[in-house]
Amino acid sequence: MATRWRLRLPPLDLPLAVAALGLTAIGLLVVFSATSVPGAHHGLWTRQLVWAACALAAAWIVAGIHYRVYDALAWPLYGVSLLLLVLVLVMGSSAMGARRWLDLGPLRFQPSEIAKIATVLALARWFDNPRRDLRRFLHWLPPLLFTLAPFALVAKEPDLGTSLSFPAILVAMYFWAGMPAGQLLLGLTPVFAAGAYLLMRSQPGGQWFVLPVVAAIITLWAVARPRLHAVLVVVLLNVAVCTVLPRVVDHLSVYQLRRIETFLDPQGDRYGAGYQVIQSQIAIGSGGVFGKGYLKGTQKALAFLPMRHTDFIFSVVGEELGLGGALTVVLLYALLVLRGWRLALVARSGFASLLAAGLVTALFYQVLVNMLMTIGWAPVTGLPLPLISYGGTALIVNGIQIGLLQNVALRRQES
Amino acid sequence: MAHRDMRRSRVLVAAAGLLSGLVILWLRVAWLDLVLHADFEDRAERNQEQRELIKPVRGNLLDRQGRPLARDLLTYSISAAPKEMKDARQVARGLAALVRTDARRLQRAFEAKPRFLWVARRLPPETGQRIAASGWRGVHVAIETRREYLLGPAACEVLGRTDLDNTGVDGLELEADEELRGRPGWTTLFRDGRGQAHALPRGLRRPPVNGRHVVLTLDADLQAIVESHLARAVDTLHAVRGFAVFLDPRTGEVLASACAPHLPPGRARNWPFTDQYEPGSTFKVVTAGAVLEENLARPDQYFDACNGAWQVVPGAWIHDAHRAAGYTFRDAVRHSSNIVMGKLGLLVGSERLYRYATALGFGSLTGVRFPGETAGRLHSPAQWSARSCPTIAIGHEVSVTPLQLALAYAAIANGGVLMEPMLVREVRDERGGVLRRFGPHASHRVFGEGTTRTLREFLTAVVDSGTAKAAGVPGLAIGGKTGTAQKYDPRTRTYGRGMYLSSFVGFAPAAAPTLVGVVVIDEPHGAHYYGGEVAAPVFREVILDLRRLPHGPFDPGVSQVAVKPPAPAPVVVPDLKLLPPRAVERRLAEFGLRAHFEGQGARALAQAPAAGQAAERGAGVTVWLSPPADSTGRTLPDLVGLPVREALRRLTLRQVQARIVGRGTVVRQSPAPGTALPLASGCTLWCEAVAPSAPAAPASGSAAAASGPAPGNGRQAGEP
Repeated sequence: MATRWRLRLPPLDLPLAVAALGLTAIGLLVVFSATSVPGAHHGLWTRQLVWAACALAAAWIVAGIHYRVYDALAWPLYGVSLLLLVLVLVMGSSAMGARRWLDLGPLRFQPSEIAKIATVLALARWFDNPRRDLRRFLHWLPPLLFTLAPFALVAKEPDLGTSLSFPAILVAMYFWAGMPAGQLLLGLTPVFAAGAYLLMRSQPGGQWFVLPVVAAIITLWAVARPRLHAVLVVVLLNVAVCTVLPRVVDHLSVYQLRRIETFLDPQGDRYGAGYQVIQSQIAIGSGGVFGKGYLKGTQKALAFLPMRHTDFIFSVVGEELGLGGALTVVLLYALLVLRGWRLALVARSGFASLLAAGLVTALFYQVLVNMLMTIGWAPVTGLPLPLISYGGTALIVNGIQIGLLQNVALRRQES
Repeated sequence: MAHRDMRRSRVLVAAAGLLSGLVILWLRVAWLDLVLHADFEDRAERNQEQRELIKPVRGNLLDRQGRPLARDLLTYSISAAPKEMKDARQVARGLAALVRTDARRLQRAFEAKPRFLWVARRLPPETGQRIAASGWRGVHVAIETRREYLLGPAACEVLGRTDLDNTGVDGLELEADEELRGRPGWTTLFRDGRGQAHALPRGLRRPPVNGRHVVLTLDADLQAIVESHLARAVDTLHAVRGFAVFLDPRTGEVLASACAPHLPPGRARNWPFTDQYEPGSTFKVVTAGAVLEENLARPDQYFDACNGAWQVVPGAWIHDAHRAAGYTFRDAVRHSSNIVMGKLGLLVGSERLYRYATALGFGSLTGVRFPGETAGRLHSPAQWSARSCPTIAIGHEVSVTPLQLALAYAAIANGGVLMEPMLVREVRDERGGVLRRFGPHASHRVFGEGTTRTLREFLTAVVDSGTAKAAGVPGLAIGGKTGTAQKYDPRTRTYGRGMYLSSFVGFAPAAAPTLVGVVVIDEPHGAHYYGGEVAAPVFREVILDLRRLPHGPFDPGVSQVAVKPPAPAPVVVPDLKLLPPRAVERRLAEFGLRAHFEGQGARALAQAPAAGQAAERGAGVTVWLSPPADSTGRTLPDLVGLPVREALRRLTLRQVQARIVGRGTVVRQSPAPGTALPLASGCTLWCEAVAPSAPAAPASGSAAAASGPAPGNGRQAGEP
């Protein structure tokens, strides 16, 4: 038996496993510290310990099943996840003005997390076709549409942070599937236009941001020399953004607007919406090189840090473990991401490769946005830090993601 | 799917992009941690630590017998925030037991879940502390401090007042602020992100040091007596104001310092110390004393009084109120002859007169430790004109403060030694232990014993048979001198016609005086304005009242500082309205108070002291009970002969509207006694001022009554 086990183990991507387990371990330590404050969060740590075990089991199970099965199940899974997203809008339980959670008896989870994996699977299945030519309209439009569906549903919850991970995944997979770079960037011009508009709106003299965007579009045009239908679509999209966005912004819920404004100027509302960001910066900045010491964070202890065990857990890392602790975490994530991309490179089948690329992008998007948020460089969105933040479903979904990556790793030598 | 080479390059692009994202992120963290570290560390600390001041209890101002004149009254107010409560029912039950209210009612109030509600206000400290110690969530205890002045408005000018921060801003509260203030303590609170303060058990703290008690030389009884008579005199004479200061000539201790009327805080000044006025005839003792001390004339030496008008220098005349051919020296003092005293002034000479005046303390600060004392005005002889010497000899061209005058007379009363005035006797610690004791301080000798003995004889004659007969008290030898000065009118730059400042300075008993008093009435209106007619009666009334005090004659006693421990913490009198007698007794017992019932009935109708006022533990609370509801034959009582307050009270008990004409004692009433009640038309009472033979009301009560003139008071002029 023992020898057979030994034979089964080596194909695992060990650095990836070490990075994931290391991050989970750091997560458990920091969650313990963040919830050790007397009062509110009593008993959360033990629960997190159980969730971590569950996540490990989930990873194990997911890794055990051949990815061909997922390939085959991609569309049904995608359909189910869309159904769940509709369901959460209808009967989800709300917290802080958003319906994100689905209550299933003792289980309580965010369908958007599952939708992310399902979308990656569906996209991987769509792109995994030798005849795909992403310069052709009918080949690149469908993935855009079926990414837009979960994006819109999640954005409706509203959960801006998570919803934006869908376009991020799509862009990464377009890229990995071989879409010409120029075309991809041209397709992203509506995003630039939206960014320019927001800057314009929030800052005096912001209208000049339009100029570099226009210049970029023209340059890309010259370089990419796209087909006529692509030109039409891009123009249409840009026009649509420019006409729809102002109205959307006017109809954004107050809290969403506030968050965007806060991101752009946190000091402007330092006791309201800017408070979290400022306190988080204070926590990280006061940590210094070596930190205040494990369990000794004052910002954390005195509840200055809101959501210190979930969204703002990186601030606790920064406060208690200092620059070194932050570096360790960042390095482990870098390891995770690099190994993920390496898997995408070495994977035998196109599906597995795309799967790895999509999963890594989803993870990385979350890591980056969460951390940027804690240092005040991204708007405050309800995104947890993968593998570290407190939260059951999030951890299990992260486990599944890692399991899927290991799945790819396990079968990289198959022909 | 892209081909292999492209995949390799694209992986590199992707990895580079992702890694650069992480690198930038980490660099930002490093920036925060390295460059901005100090600033953020600072902000993190400021976030948490906050010192909260713990206010000390301000010390008491006590009178010479240890009776509080001003003290901090601590009350506890309990509020509830039912939303914060874990178990509202249990809290309601516990609170109700401590506050003694209905638990079910409280519970119902909590169940409505208001954000805030008062459970009880102005609780005594013990209950408040027990509630604070119970540590219920959602129950908040607020300590409220109120400075309480036990004499009410009386003595407010000398005691001064505190501001909202309980810091002295005026009078003795300001002068002794260092002693009274105490030192605030602090605790280090840690404030968390929700703004909730936590006093960490190991947090740094410094306990507050409560203020020290200051024992004053003032005597509460005398103060109240002086206040009441002064106020009444000012009132009945329609004077602008009046002020008086009384002191012990043996020690220079100020026993009372009164002003009437009481101006609002901020404008109130303790006039006896801060106001100078032209003393007039009361200043003649300086001349007389100098003459006797220098042996310039014998008491029965005769002087020409020029038939009432004497030209000092061409164009400057001195007049006498009564024409006379001449007076002996003794009679010149007795009848207050300006002419003879002026001539004696010339006899003394400018230099010597000035020397004696300054030796008696005129023209310089007395050194009493009180904010805003003035020195008066006494020019040096170099600045005197040809008429100045005789004019100053009769008390013009000089300004003095009542305190200076009282001290000068005290020197005459005590055998010739000028004393330094005293206002503070002792400083005591919180528990009553004496920290510092101040003794009397003699400044210097002015006159010899013989001189003062003769002067006292002169001044006794003034009261016996001279200008100050109104100050006389049967069976007691009193010495004194009257003064009536025309006021200088700054508008017309002349002495105003009909504007007088009448004063009387007296001492008693004449043989060995223990009390010196100065009474000044500013601008009395009416037929009488001479000091002997206006100010002297006030002095007499004070002496009369003093003799009635339970602790014997008016000797306040030099060594009479109370040795008893300070009074127990005062309690706040509860509201007894409409409680049955047994409940009243129970309720009062909780506060350590006793009940005195007046009348019979099922419910308490009124109480004294009123709810919310402070009372000493063990004191009695008078509770008037409503007449039984079914009482038959309710008739109007006979109110004639009763003080108006008592009459009012009795009418209120019977729910009869009262109309009062005049003030003092009821002399007539309408309808007649025996009229059946209820009375729709009300009852009219005609009152007249209290006759001198009427029994004196308790000192503080009469002070309070006198300080607030009742509407429609009688317009009697002068004293009976």
